[in-house]
Amino acid sequence: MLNQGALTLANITWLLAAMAFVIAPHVARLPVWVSVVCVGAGGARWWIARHGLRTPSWWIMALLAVGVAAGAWVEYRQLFGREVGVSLLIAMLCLKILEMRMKRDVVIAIFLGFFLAMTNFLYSQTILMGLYMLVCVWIFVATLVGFNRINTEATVRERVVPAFWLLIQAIPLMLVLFFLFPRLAGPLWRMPGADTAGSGLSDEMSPGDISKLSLSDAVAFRVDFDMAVPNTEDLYWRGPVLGQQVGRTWRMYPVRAAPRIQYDALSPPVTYRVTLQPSNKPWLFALDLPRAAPPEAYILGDFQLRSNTLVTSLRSYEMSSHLRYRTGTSLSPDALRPYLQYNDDINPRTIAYARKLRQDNPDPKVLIEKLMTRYNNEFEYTLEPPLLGPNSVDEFLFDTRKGFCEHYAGSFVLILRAAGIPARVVTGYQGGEVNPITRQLVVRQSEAHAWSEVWLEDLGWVRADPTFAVSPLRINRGMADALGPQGVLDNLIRADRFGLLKQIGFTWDAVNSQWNQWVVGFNQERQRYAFETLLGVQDMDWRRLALWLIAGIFSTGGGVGLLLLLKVYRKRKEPVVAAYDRFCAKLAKTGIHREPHEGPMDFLDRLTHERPAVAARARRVVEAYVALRYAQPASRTDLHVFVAMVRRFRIV
Amino acid sequence: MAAISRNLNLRQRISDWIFRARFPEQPPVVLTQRRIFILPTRTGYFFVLVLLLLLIAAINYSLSLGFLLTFLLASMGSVSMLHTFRNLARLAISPGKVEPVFAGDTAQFALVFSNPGMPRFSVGAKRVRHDADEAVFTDVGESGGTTLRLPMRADRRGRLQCDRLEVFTEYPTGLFHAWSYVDFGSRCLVYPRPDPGAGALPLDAHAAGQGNIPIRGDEEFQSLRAYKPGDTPRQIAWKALARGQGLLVKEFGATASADLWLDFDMLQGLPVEERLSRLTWWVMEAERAQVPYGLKLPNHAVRPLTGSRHRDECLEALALYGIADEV
Repeated sequence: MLNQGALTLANITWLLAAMAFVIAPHVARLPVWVSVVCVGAGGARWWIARHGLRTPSWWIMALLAVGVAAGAWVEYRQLFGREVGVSLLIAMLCLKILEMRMKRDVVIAIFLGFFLAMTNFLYSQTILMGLYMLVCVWIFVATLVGFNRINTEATVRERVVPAFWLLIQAIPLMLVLFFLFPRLAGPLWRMPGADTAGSGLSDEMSPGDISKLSLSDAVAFRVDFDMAVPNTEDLYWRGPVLGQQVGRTWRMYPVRAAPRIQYDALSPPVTYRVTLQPSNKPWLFALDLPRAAPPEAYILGDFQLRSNTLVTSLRSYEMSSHLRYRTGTSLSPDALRPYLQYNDDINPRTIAYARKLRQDNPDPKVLIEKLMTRYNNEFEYTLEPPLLGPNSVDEFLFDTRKGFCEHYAGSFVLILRAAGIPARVVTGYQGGEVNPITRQLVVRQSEAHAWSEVWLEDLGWVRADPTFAVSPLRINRGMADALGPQGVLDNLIRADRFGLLKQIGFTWDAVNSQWNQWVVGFNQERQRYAFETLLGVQDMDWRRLALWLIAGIFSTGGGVGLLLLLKVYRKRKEPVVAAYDRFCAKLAKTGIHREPHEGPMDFLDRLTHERPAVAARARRVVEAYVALRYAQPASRTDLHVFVAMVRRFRIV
Repeated sequence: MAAISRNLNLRQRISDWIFRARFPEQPPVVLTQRRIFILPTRTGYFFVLVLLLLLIAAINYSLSLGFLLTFLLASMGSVSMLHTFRNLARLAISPGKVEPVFAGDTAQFALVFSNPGMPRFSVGAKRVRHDADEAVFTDVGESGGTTLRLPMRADRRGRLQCDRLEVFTEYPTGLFHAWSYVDFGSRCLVYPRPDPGAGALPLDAHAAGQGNIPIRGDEEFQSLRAYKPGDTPRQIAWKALARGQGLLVKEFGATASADLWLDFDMLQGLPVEERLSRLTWWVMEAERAQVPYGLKLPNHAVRPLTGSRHRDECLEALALYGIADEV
């Protein structure tokens, strides 16, 4: 039953195309040599099919396989892990395709293709990726259908259409399984090395880091407020706190977790729910200052939130914060010493300037005021600052005077420290955009920001944002207004504030948010919630879930099955006969009725006697009908011609 | 492999149980849903394994889209069961005409499919209990019909019984095997294999035995007689026909008693099958030479004549000689 004829050129071409589609999203991540192996193996297999050659012998394949494994070792220094696993899977699959001899090999290749589709979801689970993979699966199923056409070669239509219906008819059952299949709270086992860099803030800041982030329109997190969204200038989303200066870079101190944090709240709490996109980082974000850590997370002494595990999937948590606060003044000089540290071997002009400033202004508040005024008067806010040398702060402060938030925050903290005032850099996000459709606040990577905190003896840690002094628009109205149009589409969307693009952007974001909530982030908790709200079932346990699942499978499967089988058992009129009936109906309208027993030629005879004028026009149709029905088997085009003829038939 | 053999055994048992006393059947047989069986193929079982691995991957990396992919494929597989079933359902099957063959040749049993509905693809047929046979496949167009010829080697003379046939399909995905059994009791007449060792027609033997030799070459026109079915065009007296005397046949040779008799008893000392094979060869030779010939078997004789109908009668007699349930 398995015949070799199945490996025809057309079938092989389909399989190769399906593979190319499913591998394509990986290419940017793959080492170049893996792509070369894929293209080479695929091309060779196509050539073999084209010219009816023999597939390479087993020892050539073995050599190639060893070569690929060795290449992977050289590239990754390991053979287990996600990146190397995907690379190996792709390379080995291409070799498998090269050596395919039988239909069984093809089936294995197609099934491995489904695994490749799965690996794409490790990197992206967006709507677009989902749709793209749906198309890939469609091509794979079409390929499978083609390989199961044993005696004749399938046309493109005969592959694509059955595959389309197979998948369409599978969707109801898929949805039932998706929403009713019990979800586990965690993974079956921990996978080593989720070693991709997610986008987002990191644990250090060098000049250029945040401005690079600002180019990304990717969503960092979304926030649902239980109340009105606070003013933009209060939306400081606290992230990594960087206290240590190492050359041009600001780093985190190893700060210990605080058993409980204490500060005086000066305003009522704001409560909200944050849905964080996967970042592969441990930070959670909250408004300054958070009251307490959410579950599965803790809070550090410098008020930053950290998750117990890396945020590798969509993470949702309830938060509350006080926007006005006083952190208190109980820190010892020892505890403050790290925040006075700086490298005194670089940036000599800045250090000299700072010392002079302190001499002139013994009161730190006055000093800060002076400094802010200087920033406001003399500096320019830009995403594309000039390149800076080793004494970067010197050059920035005294020469270029153009920069981005990280330049302002970094230089500001350095000046304060050199002036003997404890200070630190705080990174996070500033602002966000309210989606008028969902009422959600959407915070994007482009809203990444760096500001500073200053220790004042009577107030404790106080936020000071030098960027605000330079470009108040950045804080009050957002990035788009601060920078002006940028030219790319995303920035175009940001630029026209109430235009069509904006609306599309909001709608798209609303769709994405729903997608995240109901598809990507569909977990145990969501499942329970869905049962409670949609089906009114409380206390869902796994046994009830299993019953629902079984009932769902049977009812949906039965429904789909009935519809499918009805198509076979319903008596179908042949298209030719149906068209002829329409033709007779047209005649009947003018009072010429065909008797049920009357054959087409008899009918035509009677017509010729009774209505010669009509008969002259009808003859062509009747003759075509007789030819189609009783002579040679009709081709599809003949049928179309006849149907068109009936459609055009008019009795004047 | 274990799966497949178990599969076959199961099918075999189902087949035996269902068709205990119902065969042969009257055509046409319509494949109703009671008659169609369906089980996963080996590929189908492998697919289930693949689905399980995909599910584990989706759970472990908590990939929601992975769940969607897994469930989409699982549902697609289930739906494909209906498609496979539907590819057979309501097909009507009748037996086609079977042409006789010589032993050692391949008989062609025909199955005529007619399809009242949607087009069917890759519908196969093979004999049950003959796993070595290559299955043959056909497509059946929308509201159309097609004839599927099932080659079967005819090893021995007599009647070749077309065993119970399995009509099956695995289209569109190859994950399921849907099948049904049909048995019309069709038989193919198998003539003995002509044995060239028989040599030239035994004209001498006749001369020696009976003294009447119809020799071509110095044949003499003898008389005209009325045309009988089976006479060849070469014997027709065209001139007589032209004169309006009707369809007459020229008779050549010495006397009517000079006809060539191919006699079973002439081949004394040879095994029966060998004799039949040689007689078959002579029948073919005599027919080619257009020499009127008769056939004498111990239990049966065919009067001398020529013509394809006469030849077929002789060949049938040879084919069925000594076979209990015939003639």
